[in-house]
Amino acid sequence: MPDMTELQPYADVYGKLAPLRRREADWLRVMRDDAMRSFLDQGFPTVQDEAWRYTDLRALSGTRFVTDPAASRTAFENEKSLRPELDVDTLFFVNGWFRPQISDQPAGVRVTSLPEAGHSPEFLETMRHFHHFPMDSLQELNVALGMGGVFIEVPDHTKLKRPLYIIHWSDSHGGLCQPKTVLRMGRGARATIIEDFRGAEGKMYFTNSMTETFLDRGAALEHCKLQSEDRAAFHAAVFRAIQTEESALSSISLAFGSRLARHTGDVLFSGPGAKCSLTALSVGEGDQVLDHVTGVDHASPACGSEQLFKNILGGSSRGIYTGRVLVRRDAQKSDAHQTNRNLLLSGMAKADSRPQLEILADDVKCSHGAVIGQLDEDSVFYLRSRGIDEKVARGILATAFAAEILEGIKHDGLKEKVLHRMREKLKRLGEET
Amino acid sequence: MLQIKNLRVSIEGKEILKGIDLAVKAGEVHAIMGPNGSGKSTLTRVLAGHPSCEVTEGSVTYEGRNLLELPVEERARAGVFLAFQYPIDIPGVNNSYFLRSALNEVRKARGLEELDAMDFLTILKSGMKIVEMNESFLTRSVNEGFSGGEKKRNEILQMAVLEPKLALLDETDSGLDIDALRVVSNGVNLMRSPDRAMILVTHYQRLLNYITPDHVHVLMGGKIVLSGDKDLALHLEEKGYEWVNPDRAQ
Repeated sequence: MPDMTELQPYADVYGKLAPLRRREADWLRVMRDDAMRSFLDQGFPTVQDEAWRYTDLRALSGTRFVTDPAASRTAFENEKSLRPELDVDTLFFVNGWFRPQISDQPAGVRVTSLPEAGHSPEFLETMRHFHHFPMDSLQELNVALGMGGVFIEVPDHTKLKRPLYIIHWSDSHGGLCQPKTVLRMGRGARATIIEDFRGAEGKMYFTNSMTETFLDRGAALEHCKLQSEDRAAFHAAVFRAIQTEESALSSISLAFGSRLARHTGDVLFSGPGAKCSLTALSVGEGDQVLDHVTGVDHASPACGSEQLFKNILGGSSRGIYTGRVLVRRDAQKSDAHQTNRNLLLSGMAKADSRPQLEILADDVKCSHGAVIGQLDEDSVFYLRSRGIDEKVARGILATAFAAEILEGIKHDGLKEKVLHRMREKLKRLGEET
Repeated sequence: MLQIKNLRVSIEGKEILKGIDLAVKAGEVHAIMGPNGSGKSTLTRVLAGHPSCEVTEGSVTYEGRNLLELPVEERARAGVFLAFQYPIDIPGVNNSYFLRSALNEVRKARGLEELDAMDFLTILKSGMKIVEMNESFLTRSVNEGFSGGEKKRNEILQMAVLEPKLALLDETDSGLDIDALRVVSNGVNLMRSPDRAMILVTHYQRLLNYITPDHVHVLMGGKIVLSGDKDLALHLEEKGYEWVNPDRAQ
């Protein structure tokens, strides 16, 4: 039984949002009430929960986090400096609240704020699908509090000209950021979505994000999430996808920032012939904890899932990969592969790898593998023997280790941006060890 | 250029080199021959600064400096180059990016400006002509998926681009077919110059049909037991290493 005094701040925030909830659709209000009750019943996950064995959220309990919906209507002067210098359409979230006033209105797509979208039948219809997924208490918290979200609809057979770049900016000390993004991809629709999480220096805030996507028949989505939160921040995010017949998903998670981060990727194959690729790169320094969890449910036949998760860990950082794959009895001709590779740059860094395959069908191709290693000293010597400084050589080799993940980013400008952030991070790591 | 005096080297506690003396002048090509396990590769590796080589005694002076005190990369910047017997694959590192980074480090140390992409390409292309390499090598990862011969050619290309003063070639001929051997030797011969010295380590005399050394040394049991001119190599080819007086090899 969780300690109520520690959860009281969250109950208070929920109470404060009551006037806003009154403007929402009935079903949404009921859903939020249920979720809040469930969160308060369970409290935060603890290390006694198997799924949270390595990621300790104790620091979150009892912290007086705040959220201020009114702030979403005040002026925001950082807009220009935060816009990515890329050929994209930009959507802004500030402290967890969607800011339509400063966001672009991309052509051919419908972008609606959540309070308004809540009344549309399309939104209700989309949300129904996500009941299939298991919920943990953090996700319950997002369902309860994630009111300032956005609903994005890409109509049938529409191909987005430019990627949609969603900036999640946090600058409120003690801010409780609960962004929510719901994406519906119509039949044969194609889109690239980038989520970029960042925050003001030294601000201690808590991002708890939820992105839910529905891919109708033959839709193709490329998703890239960049997590460069401030080192004082906590970050939790879930990315979910329902994949119907012949749909294709590529989701890349890049975890560089925050003091503690957990990214969950959940995929449900609800129709045959769908494919997904889930990849991630974590780069840890200091005492960072970077945790990735995936759950892929092969509920339909002839679907393929490919997972590649890499960690580069320096200092006393910790990288965790837990990958669950379930191949159901009827899901014949399934293809499911999981790989986790870890590069430890210091003797204090730690990697934990837990691939979990549960196969109930008999005609399937499944594999999993995990490797934990250090930089190859012969390679370091080879580069040094050509005049390259030892630190630079180690940086080059660590970058090379990550190359396989970055190659999955199709957009050149974005790839450059990610590469730049990774190099900065590796430079700090090199100075630390 | 290079003075090696009574050099003793151990690897993992086992003594491999047991007192080497060798003097190499600018412009000279020395061949080091010897049976397997005699310490030939260790000699080139200790000069390049491989961390596994522990120097227990002796000295190495290179252009008036104590070579053994310099870190690996400083040696390279001072003009020491080791062509590896087994070049390392580095997946994910582009070959031309690697070469350019290396060249710019070496140039910086020589007080020259860093090269931009265009100037670098000019240098690179002339190097590639020497080793008859096609441009597809540049976009590939360093040595990844290269055949044995391609890897060795890549080593010679690096040598041509970096223009070392002292080139150490460790069994550059091993695993090469006749064509590749011709290309590699041709590259080495083109690099010969009055201000560059080379040390070739080889098991077989075959390489010396293509590259004529000024001096030949026989290394056995961790010591140089015999030195002579190019004819010594022919004797060895004819009579085998047993011909060398085993007393001298101890």
